[in-house]
Parts: sequence; structure tokens; C-alpha cells
Amino acid sequence: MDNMYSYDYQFRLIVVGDSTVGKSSLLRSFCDGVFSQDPDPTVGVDFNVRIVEVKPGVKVKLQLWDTAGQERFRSITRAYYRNSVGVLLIYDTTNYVSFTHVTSWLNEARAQIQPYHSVFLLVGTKIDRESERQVTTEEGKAFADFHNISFIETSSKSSLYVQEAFTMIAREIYDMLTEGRIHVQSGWDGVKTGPKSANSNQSQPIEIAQNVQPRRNGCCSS
Amino acid sequence: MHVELVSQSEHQHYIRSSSRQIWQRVKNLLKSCIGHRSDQHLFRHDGSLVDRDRLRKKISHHEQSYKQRQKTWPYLLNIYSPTMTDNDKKIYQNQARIRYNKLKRAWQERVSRGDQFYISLADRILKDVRRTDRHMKFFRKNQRILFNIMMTYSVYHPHPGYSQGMSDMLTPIVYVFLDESMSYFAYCSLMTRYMSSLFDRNQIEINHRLYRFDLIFRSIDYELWSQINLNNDQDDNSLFVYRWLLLDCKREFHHRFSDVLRVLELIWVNSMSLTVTETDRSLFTIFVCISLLEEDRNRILSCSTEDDLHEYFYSSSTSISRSRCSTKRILQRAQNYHASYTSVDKK
Repeated sequence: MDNMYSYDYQFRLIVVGDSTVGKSSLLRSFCDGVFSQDPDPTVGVDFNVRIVEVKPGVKVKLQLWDTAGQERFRSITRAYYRNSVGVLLIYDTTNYVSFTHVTSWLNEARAQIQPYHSVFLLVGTKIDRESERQVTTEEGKAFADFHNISFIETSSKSSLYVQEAFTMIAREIYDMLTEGRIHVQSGWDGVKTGPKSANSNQSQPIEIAQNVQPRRNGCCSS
Repeated sequence: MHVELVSQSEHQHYIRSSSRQIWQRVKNLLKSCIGHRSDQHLFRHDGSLVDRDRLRKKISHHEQSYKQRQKTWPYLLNIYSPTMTDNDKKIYQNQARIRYNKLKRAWQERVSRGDQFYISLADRILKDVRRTDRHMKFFRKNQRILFNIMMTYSVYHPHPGYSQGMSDMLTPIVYVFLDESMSYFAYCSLMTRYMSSLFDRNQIEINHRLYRFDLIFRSIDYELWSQINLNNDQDDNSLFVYRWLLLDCKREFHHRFSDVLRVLELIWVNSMSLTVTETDRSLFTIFVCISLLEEDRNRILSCSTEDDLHEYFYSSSTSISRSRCSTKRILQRAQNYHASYTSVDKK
């Protein structure tokens, strides 16, 4: 319980993608460490939480909003973009159609999140079903490179690279935060500072890092 | 002395007879409470329904057995009219089977001919049907029936068309009716008379439900309402209740399926009757939602942050750990709210 409340930052992420690409399974694998084949279809939104370490001693609480894939629930899920600092774009590596729809998910997310900055991660799922693969790793990589976002392939069933995917996006957000390209802002829930607790040496406010020059160009929003 | 004796024996006789009378009354009373195990009070000898209101009252006040549900749900879902005799019901069942099979064959042919629209619809439905209530062995075994009904419904009802969540409302019906064609017509009736507008693409009806929930919740329990809403300064206020309102709280109880059946039949009794106006069809569901929140009132009030609230609303353990008594209390409270609301309305 104590552990639950000691973290330095909280990042709010949203998970989007077509129906049945494995959004809920990915989250369950990450948050509960169990694989649930065919969880109930998500209606509206669902919520998960887990703490990760982005660098030794720095803990980040990830607030994860799982959304329904079906178009009909878009008006509900849209409300959740605005307060997200990160977006996981999910497609199923055994379903090419779901990959072709990633562009529209990306566009919608970008349109909704403006004017705030946010980090995108493209995630291919179900790589344990290699024989059924329809989207090659190269295709996924090329798409991510083109849009200048990160990319990873996972399997929730064998929990392959699941942990890595979330740590990856959390680190990227943390880096942008320390570089001053993302700020904690009131009225926006994308990033919040945690309750200052155990590691008080880490509690230096991050805002002072604003003067640091950005390391890379071309970030994600627009 | 003599007189006294007579009066004493009279007195004793009186006591004996009156205690016999009282005992008889108690027995009658008990009978009227417990003795309707045989449904003779509900149905006539020919199988027709005595009185719709009596049925409604009975369902409102008493939990039904599985067998009783099989008899009463066709009335609840409006596919039997009260005057139908056992013979009429048999004829109806036969006709239903013939009509349903005809409808089903039509799309099956399209699918086998390789019509892309039907194939992709079938694909979507199959994926969802497979993962609806799969914790129950019954549904793992009867996926085909669920799929056939869902497909037939979606093909012949392009408005609203198939939506995720619809299969959630189908499983209880198939579980009680067992028969595929009867389940289909019961499902169509439920959708057409009561639910389908909630799944509309324009989302007007569901938004109206959300709005109405918010108003009523606020007026019933302001302290709890503000705990949930004032901690939360975004547009997604009370969206946690979206699924509750869309699926009549079915997922919130689905770890004990008999509770789901009870929740739904009470909602239907109070929402599907022809006397209920269009705008009041959502009332009972709203009261169940409020009652659910009040059941966990202390827990919600003790949440100190918005995160605690989110964890309460979205954690499946909240519904898994719900006891049968808790479900009963929730429903009783919802009924009380509903009764007082409608009585005020009448005045």
C-alpha cells in the first residue's frame, strides 16, 4: 500500500486501436501479470494503474486508459485524449486491416490532444502467433520512422516486450519532461507530480530544467 | 356457581375456537406468502395469464426460480400476450421457428456466397460473442447460438446495427429461453421496445441518460455526488457510469449470473411496461446506479484522490467481491427510490 503512494510523477496514457487487436489483454498482462484470452469487449473506457521506474530511483505512476475499439464509442473515448501525455497506438500483427487503420487513430489522437504535447508509441501485438503474421516488423518500423514515433512488437500471451513497451514510452515522456518540452500544468492531467514521499532527494521540481536544450528535434505533436 | 361453570366452559370453548381461527388465519397468510410455488395464481388452467399487474407485482416482490423465469420472461419481454393459451403458445413457437430459420438462411447464403459485407460483419460479431460471459460454461458451449441470433438481429436491424455491448444483453435471454428462435424474438422485442436507441450512432439517448443520472444523483445524495464530481474537474465526469447506464449495470453484477437475471428482470418490469413513458424508461436503471454507489458510500467517501476513485470505479474486484446480500440491498433501495419518485410524480 505504501508503495502505491510513493512515486515522483504520474503520466496519463491512453491506449487506442481497432477492436480485438488486444488492447485490454496488453494492459492486463502489464498491470496484473496475467494473460486473459478474450476479455469482455471494452464498452466505453476502462482504467488500469501501475508504477514503473524510468531511471534508478525515479518512479512514475502510469494511469492507463483503455478504450473501446468500436467506432460507436468514439465520442466517449475522445474525451480522454485531452488529458493524456502519451498514446499507445495498437495494431494486431496477424491482422493487416488493423495496421492500415493506425493512421486514422494517429490523426484523431493528434487532433484531439492539441495544443498539448504528447508522445506516441506504435505497438504491434500477438507476435507469439508468428505463423499467422500479416504485418512484417519492417512495415511497422517504417511506419513509425515515417511519423517519427517509437515502435515495439509484443506478445501479451508470453508477456514478451510488454514491460519494455510501457517503460519505453514512460522514459520518453520523462526525458521530454526533464528537457522542458513537456510541463506540469494546472488544468491538464497528462503529467502530475507525485506526493513527495520516501525519496526526498528526488523531489527537486522538474520545471527548473526548462533551459536545457532539447536533445532531438521533431517531437510528436503536429 | 352453576352459571359460572357454564360461562367458564363457554369461555374455554371460545378461546379454543378463536385460537383455531387465528391459526387458520396464520396458515392462510403463510400460504399467500409462500404458497404460490405452484403458479396457479398467475395462470389459468388453459395457460393464459390472469393479470399482467399481478405478474408484475410478483416479480417485483419475489425472487424467481429458473423454471419460473422460463414461464414469465416471455410476458416480461412482450412476446406473449396475456390471453394466449398453452395451445396458442405452441403455435407461436412453431411460427417463430419457421420465420427465424428463414431469416437466418438468407444471411447464411450471403456469407457462403462470399459477400464481403456479411463476412466482415460475421467476423466482428464472432470475435465479440466468443468473449461474452465466457466465464460461464453454458456460453462457451453455446457460442454458435449467440452468434446466429446476433448476426440475424444485426442484418435485419441496420439501425442501430451491431454494436459492442449488445451481446451482453443477449446472454441472459438465451440462458433463460434456451430455444434459439424464441430467444431471437425476445431479444428483438427488448431492443426495439427499450434498448436499441441507446446504441444509436448519434448517442443522443445515452447522453440523455447520463445527463438525467447526474441530475437525479445530485438531488438524492449531494455529498456523494460532490465527492465524485468536485474531485474531478474534467470533461470525463461520471463517464464511469457510461457502461452502467448503457448495459443496465449487467457487467457490474456479472460474476454471479443469477444476480444479473434478477437485476435485469426488475429493470424490465419497471421500464418496459407500456404505461411507462418514453422519458421515464431510464429511471429504474438510474436508481440502480445510484443505489450501487450508495452501497459503497463509505468506501467512495474515504477516497482521498481522484486516482482512488478511478481505482474504485474501474477495478473488477469491486464487482467480484459483491455478496448476494449486497445485491439484494441495492435492488431494494432502487425499488424504494423508484416507488417514491413515481408516487411524487402522480401527485
